[in-house]
Parts: sequence; C-alpha cells; structure tokens
Amino acid sequence: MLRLAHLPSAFYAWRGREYAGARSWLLVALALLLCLLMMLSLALGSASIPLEQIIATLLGGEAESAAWTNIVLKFRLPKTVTAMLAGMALGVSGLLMQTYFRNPLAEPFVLGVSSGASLGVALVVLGAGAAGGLLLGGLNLAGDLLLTAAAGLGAALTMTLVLLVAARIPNGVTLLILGLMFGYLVSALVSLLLYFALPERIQAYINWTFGSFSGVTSAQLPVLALIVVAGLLLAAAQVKALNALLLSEDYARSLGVPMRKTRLGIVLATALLVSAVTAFCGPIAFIGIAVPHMCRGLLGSSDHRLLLPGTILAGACVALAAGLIAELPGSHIVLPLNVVTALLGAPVVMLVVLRQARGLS
Amino acid sequence: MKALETRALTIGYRRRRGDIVLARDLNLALQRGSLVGILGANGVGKSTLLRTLACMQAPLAGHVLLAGEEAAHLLPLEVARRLCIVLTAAPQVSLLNGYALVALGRYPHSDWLGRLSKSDHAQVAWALQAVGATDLAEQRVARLSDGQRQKLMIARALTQDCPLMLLDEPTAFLDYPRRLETLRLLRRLTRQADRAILVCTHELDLALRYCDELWLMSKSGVTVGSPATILRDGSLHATFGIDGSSFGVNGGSRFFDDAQLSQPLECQEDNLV
Repeated sequence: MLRLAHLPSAFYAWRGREYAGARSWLLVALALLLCLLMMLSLALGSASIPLEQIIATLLGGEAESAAWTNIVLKFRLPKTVTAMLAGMALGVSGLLMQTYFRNPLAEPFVLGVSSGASLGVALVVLGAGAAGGLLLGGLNLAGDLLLTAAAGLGAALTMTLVLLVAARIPNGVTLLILGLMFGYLVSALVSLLLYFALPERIQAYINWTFGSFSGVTSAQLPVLALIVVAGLLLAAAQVKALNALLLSEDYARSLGVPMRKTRLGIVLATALLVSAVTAFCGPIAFIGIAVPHMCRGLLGSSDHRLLLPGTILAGACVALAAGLIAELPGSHIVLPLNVVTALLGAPVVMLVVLRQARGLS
Repeated sequence: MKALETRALTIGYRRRRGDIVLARDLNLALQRGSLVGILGANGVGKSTLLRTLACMQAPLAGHVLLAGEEAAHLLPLEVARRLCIVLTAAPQVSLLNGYALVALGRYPHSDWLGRLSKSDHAQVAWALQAVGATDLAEQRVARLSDGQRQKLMIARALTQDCPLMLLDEPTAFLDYPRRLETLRLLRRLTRQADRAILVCTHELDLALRYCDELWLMSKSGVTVGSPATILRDGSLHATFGIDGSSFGVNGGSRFFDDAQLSQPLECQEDNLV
C-alpha cells in the first residue's frame, strides 16, 4: 500500500541516504495547501458567488449570472494565476541569489533589476511632462499599460547591464556590492524625482510601489507566464551546480562546475523572473527573501533538488495567501500587498529561523 | 604512473605593471601511491603553487600535466576527474547530512540532477569507511566538529575518484591528535587506494614522519628529496633555520633543538639596564 510518506520518494525515485533527516514528504503537503489556496482565491472576493457556479464557469460553462462569469474569468482567475506565478518567481529567484552569494540576506532585488524597473516607472509617472500627466489622469487602462512597459524597459536595461558585468567579473561578492550600489544610486534618483514631483503624481508612484496581483489582464497573462516558466526552467537546469556551490565557488570549480556558464545561468534566470514580476505586479517585497528560509526550515534540507520544488510551491502559497488577506474578503477595503506580505510573513520567518537556530545549537 | 608533472612551470600573479613571479622553471613529478608534502615559510608561494597545480589559477609560463595530459587543454569536468582538492576551512553547510556532503564528490560522474547510481552509492560508502566516518553519515554537518567535518571533506575528495588529491593546510584548525590522525590517514590512502597525495602543510614534525617525499619551497626555488635526505643535507635548516636552533638528524620525533630556550633570562635584562 502506498502511504503518504512514500509519495515524494516515488517522485524522487532516486531517494537515498543523502536525504536522511530531510522532510521531503512536506512537498506533498505544500502541493495540497496550494490547491486549497487556489480554490479560496477563486471563491472569495467582494462579490459572493456560490462555489458550484465558480466551478461550472472554470469548466467552460456559464454561471447563472453573466456578471458572475465575468468576475470569475476576467478578474479572479487572472489574479489567482498572477499571484501564483509571482510567488513562484520570487521564491525561486530568492533561492538562487542566497545560494549563489552564499548569503542568507540576499534576495531577488540585490541585482538591481527591480531598482531599474522602479526608475523606469518613476521617470514615466514623476518625470514625464504634460503628456504623461494626460495619460495617467484620464485613461486608467493606458496608464497601467504604460507603467508595465516602463517597468519592463527599466528592468530589461538593468538586466543587460548586470549580465554584461556578470560575464566579465568572476567574483560573486563584487557583483553583490555593485548591485547594491546600483540600487542606492537609483533610489537617490527616484527621491530626486519625488522631491520635485506634484503630489498626485507622487501618490500614483507610491501606489505602484505597494504591489498588486490584480493589474494583469488575461491578454497580458500569457506574456508573464511565458517569461516565468522560462526562468523556472533555466533555474531547474542549475540545480546540480547550485548543490556544488553550497561548498564554495572554489570547491564547485574543482568539481567541474563551469562557473562562467553557471553564473550567467543563475543571473539570467533571476533577472527574467524578477523583471517580469516587477513589471506586471510592482516591487513585491519579502516573498523572495522569506520563502527560501521557510523552505529550508520546513524541508530540513539545503539540497536544491528539494528546495527548488519547495520554493515553487511555497512561493505560490505565500503569494496567494497574501493576496487573499489583502482583499479582506467580505469587505470592500483592499490593503497594499506589500504591507500584508511583510506584516504577516516576517513573524513566520522569525519563528522558523529561531527554531532552526535552537535545533542546531 | 605519474599523476602530476610540471614542465618549466613558472608561478605567480599577472599584474599590469609586470608579473609577480614566486617560483620559476619548476620541473616536479608526483607518482601514484606516494604522499608528498610541500613545506615552506609563509608567503613563499606554497598556496600559489597548489592553486596553479589545481588549475584554479593559470601559470605564468610552462606546463602542468595531469595523468599525462596538458591541463590547460582540459575541460573543467575532465580536470575534475583527474584531481580533487581539500581546502583549509571545511565549509559550513548547515542542512546537509554527512552522506549528502560526501556524495557531492560524485558531481563529475553523475547526470544533470546529480542522481546517485548504485555504484555511486558504493563509492560514497567506501569513502566514508576509508576515512572512518561511517557513523557521521546521517548526522547534520552543522553539528559536527571541525575535525569531523574535515574528515568528511577528505571522504568527499575520495569519492571524486581521481588519481591525484591536493590538500591546502587541511589540519590548520585541528588539534594535535586530529592532525596526527589526518596525516596517517593520508599516508594510508596513498597505499590502499593508490592515490597520489600532495599536501601543503606547516606540520614540520608530522610531514617529516609521514611523507614519502618533501618539496621544500624557499625564495630560491623548490628542493625535492626524501625526509631523511633533506634532514641530512641541511636544506631543511636552510629553509626554516632560525638563529640559535638546529634540526636533529636521528629520525626521532624531536627534530627541533632550540638553544635559546635553555638560556637564562637575566642576560636580556642586562641589556635593559
């Protein structure tokens, strides 16, 4: 008979003594939790729609009311999928950065990609003249699209810069410091723009920095999905090298890891994931740094063959949960997403890390 | 068979304003089944030599041959199948067990996910047994002592299954019994597993006792010889000699005879008055 604890071993057919002590069965629990949160995210919202109506709509039928069909297909489904994709992308890129830089404080944004995105948005929202104001003032939709384009362009330019630097500089720490300094430089420029901007423009910029999963339309969703899946596949291809990197860059090289190729793979995957998420959802803090720690604590392993699927599942769960709580189901208030991720997530990570520290000493 | 050979090797660092040369025209060779120690004062270039031999840094001139093949022409994976390394500090990998840490050595032999085959598992089990760390297999690495972790790192190097093993001061953080144990283990591995082992060390005493051959590095170059020869012809004294001390030649454990230790302290106070 197949017991629940055997399921991951069936998934990892090669499971051996190297996984002794790891709780790989929790991957199944995470997958079940993800299904539950997906259903909740589709079922809960300011309008109350019966569950069977939602399921019927998702299966291609029509709900009793056309408005319900509309809400589910045009609003809740894109929001749910966006949250999952963003959570996966941020969790995995955080894992890549923490392992590559061998630093538990590293996060997806250390490469400066999201700083580049925020500069793009700030230039459009705060710096643009009358044309920008007209766009943002009247047309909400065109304004959103413009923000996405500006963030995407800023992220893509920064990504090219980071890749050029990463190809030349064989040193992780140097790359880390350059990324951090670039971030400071950009935030100074943004502050400068904020200082001279009109109050309502500042409000628009700040709204973007709050982050949101509901800004992505069903037309834009395939673009986000494609980039995120490409980034995740690229990350999966680095799994073996990431395990060797746990020792050190010197040891990894001595094991035959092609460091230049691996470094570019890690940086490109992170840049793709982060720039896509930041362009479509804004700079969503916390998930990227917290989810890898949560996974290490939960799964009890540093092995990336467990951590990568773990961060994918847990990232999606955390993002969905944060999105749900931000909407405060039953009310008409929507909290800023970044407030929820940090307020609720930080204590959880503190607990996990403290438990881990006690277990080790 | 020669696991390692150098031809007219010059080591050092490339700088824009002229290269810094630490040693030139080195013609060294290392046979399988022998334990060789690199000895020398701080800053003389032991680590640079080791890093150059391990293909972690390029030579300024000359050639490094690994199992008869020019190292500069080999791919990273091909180098990884010919030599493995153990560095001074054992890495802190908190959430792996001992078995997983040792199994990382199978990297150059496994598939894209690093899955272990039956023979990989056999290699890991053998390496754990060879270093006497079978009982550490299912313990978290973070809970182990420095000595236990370094033992696992040597086992990890063994599972890489290379003819040549290079160690850079592997005993620096260990206590004396652990240092003795490590050197004895390395000597046993050269005999039982037919490896060529090159160890860079400051353990004069232990190196003289356990190594088959010593490479003495000084500013003037590298002197090669068996421990007995090196003791007799005075090259050890020339490399490490401090005024007022000399090395014993009787092959006993006390090589170091410091005349100054027996001098009364008063004579120094006289100078102060």
